[in-house]
Amino acid sequence: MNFLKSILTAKSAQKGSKETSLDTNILWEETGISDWKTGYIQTLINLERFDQEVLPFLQKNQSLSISEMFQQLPITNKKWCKNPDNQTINELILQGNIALVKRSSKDMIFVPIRKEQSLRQISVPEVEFSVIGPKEGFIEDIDTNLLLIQKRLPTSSLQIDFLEIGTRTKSKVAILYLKDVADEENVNTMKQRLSEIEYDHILDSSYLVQMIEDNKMSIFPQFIDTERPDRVVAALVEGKVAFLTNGSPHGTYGPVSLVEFFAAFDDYFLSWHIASLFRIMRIFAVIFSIFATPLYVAVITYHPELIPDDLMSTLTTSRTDIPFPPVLEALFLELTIELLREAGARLPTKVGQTIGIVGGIVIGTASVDAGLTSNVLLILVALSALASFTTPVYRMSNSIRIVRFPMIILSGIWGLLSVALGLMTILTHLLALTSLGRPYLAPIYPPRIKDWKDSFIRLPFFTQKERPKQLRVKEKEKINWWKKRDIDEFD
Amino acid sequence: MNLTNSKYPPSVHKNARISPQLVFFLIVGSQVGVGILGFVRYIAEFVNQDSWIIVIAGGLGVHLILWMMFSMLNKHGGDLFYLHHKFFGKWLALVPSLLFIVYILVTGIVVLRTYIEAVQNWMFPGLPTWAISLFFVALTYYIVSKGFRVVTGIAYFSFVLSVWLIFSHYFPIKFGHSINLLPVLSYSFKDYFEAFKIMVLSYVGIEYLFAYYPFLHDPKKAQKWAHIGAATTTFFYLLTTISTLMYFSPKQLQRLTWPTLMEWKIVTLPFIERFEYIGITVFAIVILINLALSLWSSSRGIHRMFDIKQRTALVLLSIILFVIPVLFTNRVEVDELNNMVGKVGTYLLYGYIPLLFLISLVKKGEQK
Repeated sequence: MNFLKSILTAKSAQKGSKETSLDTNILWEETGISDWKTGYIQTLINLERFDQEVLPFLQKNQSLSISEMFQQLPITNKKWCKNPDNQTINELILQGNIALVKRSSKDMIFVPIRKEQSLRQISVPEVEFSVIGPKEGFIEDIDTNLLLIQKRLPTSSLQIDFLEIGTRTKSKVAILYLKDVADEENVNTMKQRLSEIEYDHILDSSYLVQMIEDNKMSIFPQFIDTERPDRVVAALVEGKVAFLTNGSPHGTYGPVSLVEFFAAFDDYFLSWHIASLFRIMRIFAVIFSIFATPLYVAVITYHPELIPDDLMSTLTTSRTDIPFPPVLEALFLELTIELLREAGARLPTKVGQTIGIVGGIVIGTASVDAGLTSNVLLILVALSALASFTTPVYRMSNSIRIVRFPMIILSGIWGLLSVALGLMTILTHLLALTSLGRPYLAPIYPPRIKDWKDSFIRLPFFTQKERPKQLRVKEKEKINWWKKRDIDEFD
Repeated sequence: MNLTNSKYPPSVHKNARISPQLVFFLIVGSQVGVGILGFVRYIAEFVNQDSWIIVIAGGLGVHLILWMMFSMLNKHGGDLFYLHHKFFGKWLALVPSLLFIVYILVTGIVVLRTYIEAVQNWMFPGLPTWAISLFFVALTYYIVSKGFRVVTGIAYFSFVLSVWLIFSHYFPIKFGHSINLLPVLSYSFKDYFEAFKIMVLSYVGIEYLFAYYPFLHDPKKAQKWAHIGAATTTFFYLLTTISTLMYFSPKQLQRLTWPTLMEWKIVTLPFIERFEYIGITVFAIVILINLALSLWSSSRGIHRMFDIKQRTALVLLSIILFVIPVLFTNRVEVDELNNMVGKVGTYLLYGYIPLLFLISLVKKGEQK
């Protein structure tokens, strides 16, 4: 790794030593006004505005020197460069500035008259749709996304720091946190990791997420990315650190813990009983999804004595004519389901749905009729696939589906014993995992019972008096408005 | 090789330390092992229906030893290797420190071999010893290589995932006869003493504290939790003893190797039969923390004594932990190994630790 880095730096040093030439795409044009010349790239510039706002002013004051012109030109955010080198000129023009040059001088004025890109409309979040609650989702433009967050958080403690990442794409990245809440160590870690990235192109925030994860070999995601501005705001207020990337319709935040991946943002809009029930259901679904098929394989292959007589007869009838051992049968079915999912994901929505239904029903019934699979296993596999889709964060539901495969293979080796060891391997991995240096399994381990009120259950808002200990925030208390009254006491 | 490493108490980074409550799980996790599946038969051999008295006496003894350990560690700081260095000097400290490391590793070997025995007898008769041993050692290596925080986490999860097994005692108590527990106090002192010595094997495990003491955030507070942990272990053993004594007659009990596994046979639930399979599977998780603590403490010991990297020590010890269980081929040898460790454990707990405690009282404590 270091070797690679040293080659890269040596190369860039070489580049720097050579005099860069001016970009050939830049159009150098006479304005027709005495000594003034312009330079710009046509596709990046709103020429109409330039003609209406800048040219008339030039015409009126053509005798001014370049520094006087800079002071008087009625445009904000313009730049004046004293004898700029080619690289600066290239950079500034590529950012959408027009260069103004006077023949006698080497200095330049850069006037920002960017062409406004027509943006996608702010639309309903598709992956994290909620029935009630706000329906705004992020879009691909970072300024709009920042606006979506800032209008929800009109407070001076919201700090936004900008970074430019990607040697070629020069993607704009904004790091957001609340100055008086977020832990400095978290903020610094996030900033440091982001600024250390050296990569040529950053096209989406998911590039960055994969590059700044604590354990890059882990299949579990260590940051949450969401398309909901309200979810990012909630994370910020809690004391987390978020970042937005230009060109990506996702906000990403950390540190997060495992249970947060199973919390849908709807949970805060519904009453706490329903929300808690849904959360428990989702976690149960995950456990079911990972362990149902392996346990079936283990019990059928090695420990049929475990099953009571009545149930056993059902299982035996379904399996009498099957020529394969249960492990192969299960793997075959799981792969089929993954195949259906993948085909559905790659095709346009309507075709995808058809494929799903046709594939599911036809292949399912046909393989049972043909005696290739038992229908009990078919039910289990379909259910566990369904269960894996209840996870609200897409990245996590993928991880869960993958974890299933080694577990099935393990269950085929020594049955329950190897499943237990597999479970402990996963647990060890999760225990060692961190997100921005904070334990990933919190608040389960280290056990912080106070933080359980918003983890696999969500208790009513009046109990949520403190921010999670996990985040080491500066301001621990949320405001608590709830006052307990005595019997027959009124304000 | 640099022997001066243990001259100073170890400095442990604050991120590697654990909060005091978690000592509870470490103590319970290190004490409760595969022994709980069979210990009742061995003490009942001497005192039959009075076994529960021995269990309580053993538990009280553990509290005393635990108190001694905490007193000397609180006074002098550091760990056992530092204490040895301080009390005996650089060279003389080698002997007790090395013996301690060997002993700790052997406790791991005993647990692993005994568990393999149970698996081979009850679940997979044909499974070769080396295969199970390899599986367990590989996983233990993985756990230990992730550091002490993860070892503690495994202690926590192994407790959470297995504590529900105590409800299985409902069935033997329901079908058992309380008359089996009478009459009380009908044996000679010598019998009680013999039974007590055998009971010590089930209570060993607290001596790992000698190695992980510097990893505790607030040792004074941790001491309270350690005592609660030891009391919990005693409670588990007491429950097991009473249910076993109630369910089996004395003669029947002596014919069984694994009374607790036998009890699980009568657990009847609407959706599951042959509960002992579930029990043995859960015990894979229970012994994992025994193995992890044994490997962690012994590799830590070598790291402290010889200034070798702990990871290097861990690789060597893992290989030993994998190979030695394979060398024991039958029940008799496994029993022999258990007896031996029980004896050494007794000497360590009730001989060496009190001796060390006396020395520590004389020596001057750590300057603040």
